[in-house]
Amino acid sequence: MFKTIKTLAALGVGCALAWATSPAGAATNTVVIYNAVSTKLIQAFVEEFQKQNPGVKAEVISGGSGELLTRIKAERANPRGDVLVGPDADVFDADLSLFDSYDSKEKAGFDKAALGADGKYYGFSTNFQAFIVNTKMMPLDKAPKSWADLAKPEFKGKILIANPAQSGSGYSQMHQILMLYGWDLWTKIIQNAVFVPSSKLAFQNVAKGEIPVGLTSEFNILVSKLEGNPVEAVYPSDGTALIIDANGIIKGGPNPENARKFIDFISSAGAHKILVDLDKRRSARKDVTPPPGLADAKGIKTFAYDTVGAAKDRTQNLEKFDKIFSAK
Amino acid sequence: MSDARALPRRPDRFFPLAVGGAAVAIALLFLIYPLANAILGAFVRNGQPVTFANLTLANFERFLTSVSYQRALWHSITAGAAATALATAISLPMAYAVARVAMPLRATVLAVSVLPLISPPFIGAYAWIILLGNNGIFTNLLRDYVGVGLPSIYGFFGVTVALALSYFPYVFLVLQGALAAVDTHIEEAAAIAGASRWRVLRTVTLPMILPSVAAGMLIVFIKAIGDFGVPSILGGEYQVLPTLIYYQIHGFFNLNGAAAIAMVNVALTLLALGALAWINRARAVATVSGTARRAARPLPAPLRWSAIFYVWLVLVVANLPQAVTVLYSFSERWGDTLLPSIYGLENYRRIVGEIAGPALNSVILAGAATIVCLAFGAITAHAATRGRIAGRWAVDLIIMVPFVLPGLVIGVAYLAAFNEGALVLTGTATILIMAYFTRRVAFVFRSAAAAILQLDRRLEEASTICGASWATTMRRVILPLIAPALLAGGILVFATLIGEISVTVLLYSARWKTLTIAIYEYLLGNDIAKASAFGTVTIVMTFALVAAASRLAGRNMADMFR
Repeated sequence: MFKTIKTLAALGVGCALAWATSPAGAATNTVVIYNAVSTKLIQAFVEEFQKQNPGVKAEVISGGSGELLTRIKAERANPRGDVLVGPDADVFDADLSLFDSYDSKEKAGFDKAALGADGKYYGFSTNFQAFIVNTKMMPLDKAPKSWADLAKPEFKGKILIANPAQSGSGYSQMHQILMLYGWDLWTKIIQNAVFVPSSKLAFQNVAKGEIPVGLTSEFNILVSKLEGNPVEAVYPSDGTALIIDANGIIKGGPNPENARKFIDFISSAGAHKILVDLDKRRSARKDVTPPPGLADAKGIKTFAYDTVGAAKDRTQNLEKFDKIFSAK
Repeated sequence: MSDARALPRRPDRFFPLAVGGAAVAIALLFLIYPLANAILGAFVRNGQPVTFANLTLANFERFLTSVSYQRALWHSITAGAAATALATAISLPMAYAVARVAMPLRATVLAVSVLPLISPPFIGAYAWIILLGNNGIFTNLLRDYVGVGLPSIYGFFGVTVALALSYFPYVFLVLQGALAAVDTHIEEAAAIAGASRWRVLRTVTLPMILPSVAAGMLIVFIKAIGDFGVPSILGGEYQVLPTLIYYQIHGFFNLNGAAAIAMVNVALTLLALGALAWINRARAVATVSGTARRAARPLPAPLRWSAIFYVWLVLVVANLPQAVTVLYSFSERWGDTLLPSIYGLENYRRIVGEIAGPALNSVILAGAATIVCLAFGAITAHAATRGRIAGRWAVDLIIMVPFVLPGLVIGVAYLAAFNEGALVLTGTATILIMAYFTRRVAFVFRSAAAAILQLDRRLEEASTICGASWATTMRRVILPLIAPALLAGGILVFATLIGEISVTVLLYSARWKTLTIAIYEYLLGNDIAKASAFGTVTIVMTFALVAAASRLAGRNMADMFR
C-alpha cells in the first residue's frame, strides 16, 4: 500500500507543479462575467454574445449576488472580473465606487428609473413583488390581498418571508413595506410571518405545500406554476414596488473594452427577449413585451422603489429589525 | 521527549532539515500568513488596519447587547451538543455490532457508512424537507396511514437530526476501528472471571475505547457547529453562528465582525478540545499489542439478527437524502404530487455535455489537496508526537484552528492574501488546492498522530541503532505502519472535498469550475432536478473512487478506519 501512496504522491507533486503557476487564460481576448442568474440564461447569453463578437471568449463565474459582491470587494486592489450580471440594483447602489460608468448606445431603451447614476448600471428585469399562494392549502378568496392584510391575525404562522438580515430580496421587501406603511405595520407583520434565511425557500416551500403564502418576485410564481405546482400570484392592492435587477461594469477589470461590448449586448432588445423567453421575467426595457402568463402591468398598482435610500439606511434598518425580531 | 534527545546524534541532518523546512514554509505561507490577518481582524473595528493601537473587543460587544446573537450562540451550543450526542448514541451500538458481531457484508456496511459524508451541497438538507417537511413524503404517509404527526422539521429538531445523520460516520468509523483493534483477550478474561456481558462492556470495553469515542465526538461537534447548509434550509427562524457569519460577510462585507463570530466558534471548540484532553489523561490505556485479533462474539440468533437489522436501518435512514437526490435526478415533472409524476433520463441527457470538465477538475483539485494533506500531515504529526519540536500545542493549534474556521472566512482570507503582492495565485488551481489543504489537513494530522502515538518508540530506535538514516526509518518503518491511518484520513479528506462549496465559490476561476459549482449554478436557477443529476454523478463517482482507492491499497474499507 505504501508503494501506491508513493506513486500517487509523485503523480500529485508532478500535477501540482504543472498547474501551480498556470493562471487562467488572462492574456487572451476574454470577458470575465460574474454571474448571479440561472445557468440556462447565462449560457444562452454567452452563446449569442460570442456569435455577435467573434474572437471574444466569455468566461462565467457564478454565485449568489452576496458571494459575487464579496469577491469583487476582496479583489478590489486587483480586480479579476469585468462585468456583474443580475443582482438587485441596490447591490450596485450600496457601493457605486466598485463600478465603472459607461455611456451605452442602448441607453435610450430604458426609463430613467432603470438606469444607475452616471451609467454605473443598466436595468435587466423588473420584478413586481407578489404573494405566492398555494391554492390547495388556501383558496384564493381567503388569501391576503394587500400588505396591510399580512398583519391580520388569521394569517399568523401562514406567511413565509425571506429574512431581511440574511437575504437581499428579503431586505427589498421589508423596505417597500416601510416605504408604504412604516414600522408600525411591519412590526405587526414580523409577529405574524415566518422568516427563512433564503429567498428561494420563500416560494419553493409554498410550492411544496409547506406553508400557504410566501413573498417573492412574480416570475418565480409563474415558473413554479408552469412546473405543475398549485400556486397563483396575488399582487398587493395597496401597490407593489418596481424592484429592478441590473448589470454593470466592474471598475478596473482586466478587459474593459470587452466589458463595454458585453454591456451593449446584454442591454439590447435582442438579449432582453432571451431573458423574457427563458426566465419568464419582465424586461426593464421599454420596448420588450412581458412573457405570456404574467399579469398586465396596467392592472397592477405600483410605486417607484427607492434603491438609494434602501442602500443608505440598510444598517440602521436591519438593527431595528433585529431588535423587533428577537423580541418576538 | 527526553529519550528522543538521548538518542545518538547521527550525521544525516540534511534530509530531515529539508523536509522539516519545507513543512514550516508551507505552514507559514498557507496556514499562518493568510489566516493570521483574518483572525487578528476580530480584534479591530471593521475596515481598520491591524495595529496594536487599534486593538479592541468591540466586535464581541454584540454578544452582550444583541438578543439574536445570544440566541444564535445558545442554538449553536445546544444543537451542536445534541447532534453530537445523537450521533454518538446511534454509533455506539452500531460500531459494536459491526466490530464484534458476525456481520454479513461487513465491507459493504463500512463503505456505505461513508456515503453520508459525500453529500453535494444544499441538496441533502433540501431532501429532508421533501422527506419530513409539513408536506413531506414520510409526514404524509405517517399522518394518513398511522395517524402520527411528526414535530416540525424547522428549528431545533430538524437541524439536530439532519446534522447528526450527516456527521455520525466520523464517530462511527473511528469507534469501529478502535473496537476492532482492542485485544479481545482482555474481554474474554473478564468473562471467564465471571463478569456478565453487560459488565464486561461497561467496565472493560467502554473504558478502553473512550479516547476514540471522545475524538470522534469532537469532530462531529466541530462539523456541527460550523455547518451552514443545514441550518440555512432547515433552521427557519432558528439561527446559529454560521448563519450570522454568512451574512456578516456576504451581506455587509464586515470581515472583522465575521471573524469575531468565528472566534467564538473557535473558543467553543477549544473548550471541547480541553474536555477531550482531560478524558484522555484521566484514562490513558495502551491497547495496541501484536496479538490483537478480531473475534466475532457468538450471539444468540435473534440478538444477532436484530443487530444486523439495526445497522442497516441506520444506514438506510442516513442515506435517505442521497436517495432523494437520485430520485429527483430521474424526475422530469415533480409538481403537486408525493412522488415525481414523470420519470426519465432527460436531466442526464441535458448535462451529459457539461459534466466531464467539472468532474475532472473536482478530482484533480481534491486529489492534489489530499496528497498535500497526506505529506504535510504525516510529517507534522510525526514531529509533533515525537517531540522533536518545541511547543507541540502550537502545531496542534495552527492545524486545528483553520479546521474550525468556517469555509467562507478562509475563502475571503485567501482572496485577500493572494490577489496582489509578491505571490499572486487568484485564478490558479494552486489557490484552491491550498485552501482545501488548509481546511482539511487536520483530518490527516489527527489520524496520523493517533497512529504514531500507538507505535512503540523502540521500533524507531532499533532502526536508528541499526544504522538507518532518518529518511530510511521514516520510509521503511514509520510510514508503512501508519499507512492505514493515512489512507483513512486521506479518503475522508478526498470524499469531503469533492462536495466543498464555501471556499470554492469564492476562489474558483472559469478554468477550474468544479462539480459543486455546477450544482450550485443550477440551484441558483431553481433547477433542482438538474442539480440532482449532477449530485448523483458526484455521489457515484466519489464512492467509486473511494472504493477503488481502498481496493488498490489492498485493503477493504473494513480495516482502514482504526
